[in-house]
Amino acid sequence: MEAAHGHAHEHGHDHIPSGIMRWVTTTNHKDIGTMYLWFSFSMFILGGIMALVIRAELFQPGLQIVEPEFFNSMTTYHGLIMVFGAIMPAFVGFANWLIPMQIGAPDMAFPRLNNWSFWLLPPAALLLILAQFAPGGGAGVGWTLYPPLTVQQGMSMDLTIFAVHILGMSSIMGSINIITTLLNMRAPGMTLMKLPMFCWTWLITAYLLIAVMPVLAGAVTMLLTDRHLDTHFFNPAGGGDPVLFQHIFWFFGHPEVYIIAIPAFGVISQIIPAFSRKPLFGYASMVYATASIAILSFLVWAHHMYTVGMPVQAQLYFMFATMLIAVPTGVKVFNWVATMWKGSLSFETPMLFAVGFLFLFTIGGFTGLVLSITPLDVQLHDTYYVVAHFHYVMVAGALFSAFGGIYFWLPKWTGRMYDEKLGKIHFWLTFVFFNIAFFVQHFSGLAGMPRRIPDYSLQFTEFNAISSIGAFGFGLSQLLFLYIVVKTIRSGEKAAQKQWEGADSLEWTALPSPPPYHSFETPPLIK
Amino acid sequence: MRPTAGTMQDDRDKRRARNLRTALILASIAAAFFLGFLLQRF
Repeated sequence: MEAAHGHAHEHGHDHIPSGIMRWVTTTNHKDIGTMYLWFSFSMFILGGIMALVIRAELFQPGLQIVEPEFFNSMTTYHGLIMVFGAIMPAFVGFANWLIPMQIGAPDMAFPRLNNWSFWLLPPAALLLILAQFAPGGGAGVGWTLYPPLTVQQGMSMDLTIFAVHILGMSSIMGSINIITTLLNMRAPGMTLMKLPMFCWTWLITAYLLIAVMPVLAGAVTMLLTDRHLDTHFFNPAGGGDPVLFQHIFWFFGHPEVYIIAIPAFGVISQIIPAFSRKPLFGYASMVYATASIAILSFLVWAHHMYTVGMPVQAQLYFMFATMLIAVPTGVKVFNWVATMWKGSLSFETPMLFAVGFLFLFTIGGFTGLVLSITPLDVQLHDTYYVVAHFHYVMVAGALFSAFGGIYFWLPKWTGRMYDEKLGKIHFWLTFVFFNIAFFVQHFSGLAGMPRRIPDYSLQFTEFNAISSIGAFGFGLSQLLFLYIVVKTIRSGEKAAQKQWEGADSLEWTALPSPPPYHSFETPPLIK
Repeated sequence: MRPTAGTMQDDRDKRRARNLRTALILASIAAAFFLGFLLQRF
């Protein structure tokens, strides 16, 4: 696709406000995207430190470093912060930066709503941090917030519930903005089936968010009223049922997995064609596969709770429905591989992360299939096998994709090129330490080590020592990433408008690097 | 060039009205999911 007429008149009159108020009051999608990405990175560091507290305690059996209650709160807030604070905002940051530029719009549909969506995040993060200092310490309940434990916790639980409400509001408003932008703000000629794959994945993800974030809000609201208003939604003594919470939570929780994964697929679908110098193989099938994954994600929630005791017919249904998701996911993986097939490949850092994603996410997908098998899951439920599985999906899937996306678009966003050599070192350190940290967890899980415990039997010692070494290596490697990004912004070499010769979406073909503060005030014509 | 419904080719007021309409529909879906799940046990 190409822009049919120019926009040179846009460059002369960029008025960029300065000072702190630029960031507080901004309605510019690029500024808001930048804030999302930096917020996400700071939460990634915070959640990462919590992970390292967990791994430090688990380095050896026995209790060495932290109290068990504090350990439990670390597992809880590590999960909440990484899911809601780090990964989701990272992809919303990408969406803010890229969607308007990729569809030829001047900004998001609701720029002020966009500002509000972002500025709800820091107070929510603050509540999650303050919860650590509430009387009795942080809630030690796990990110899934299951009652009855959550009903019995101290004040930290209320702060956490409030934080989840705020994060949910932010996500819903962000999604409304994204869908409206994609449906109504496309440049003339940009039909839906011409949208870059990243935009398609966000359109689908935003619908998922609108459907399930209110469900999570409903679930935690019921927790709140059970705690303070004497309702008995989840209390058997009053006619309630704690299993109800699990059903409602996972009706949110499983689509949530795809809310994280699908934009990651979108980023990968932009990177692989660019470095294969070929168009994406099977564009239409990618769109339909993504939509199928999204629809199926609503129909499989109870595979997270096989052990609560459900009818065998229900177990069979959820098992087969879960396995069905492998079909559209397989379509996507094969399409990525087919895009690379006979392509003119080169392996710059974004492509390394994309190929790393392809290998490791597929491993995570296969262990997901293993876990979908009910009789196996009854054995593996709440073991480290599950922890290994979802870290392959969340870290090697979503985080690798986010890293790849940052390296891919950093030259566009900043107008400066990152240090390729350092980028490659960052990739290999991340890739190797990730596998050291998490591959062994498959084995400790198969051997029966339960998750969310600060102490364990002696037979798991070696696996845990290896995993902790990998985790610390992984965490330290991310400081290199911070250094690379800061170095790029401050002193990177000047990037070309089309830094990657195979990149073909509008931000590369129609806008300079960096793009003007206000781009596409006159919409481009798409042929 | 194929005409594309719902794009930037419309004038500003028409686009604003359409954006608001879309947002209201989406917000109602969100509200329905919230209330539906919350009220099911009352």
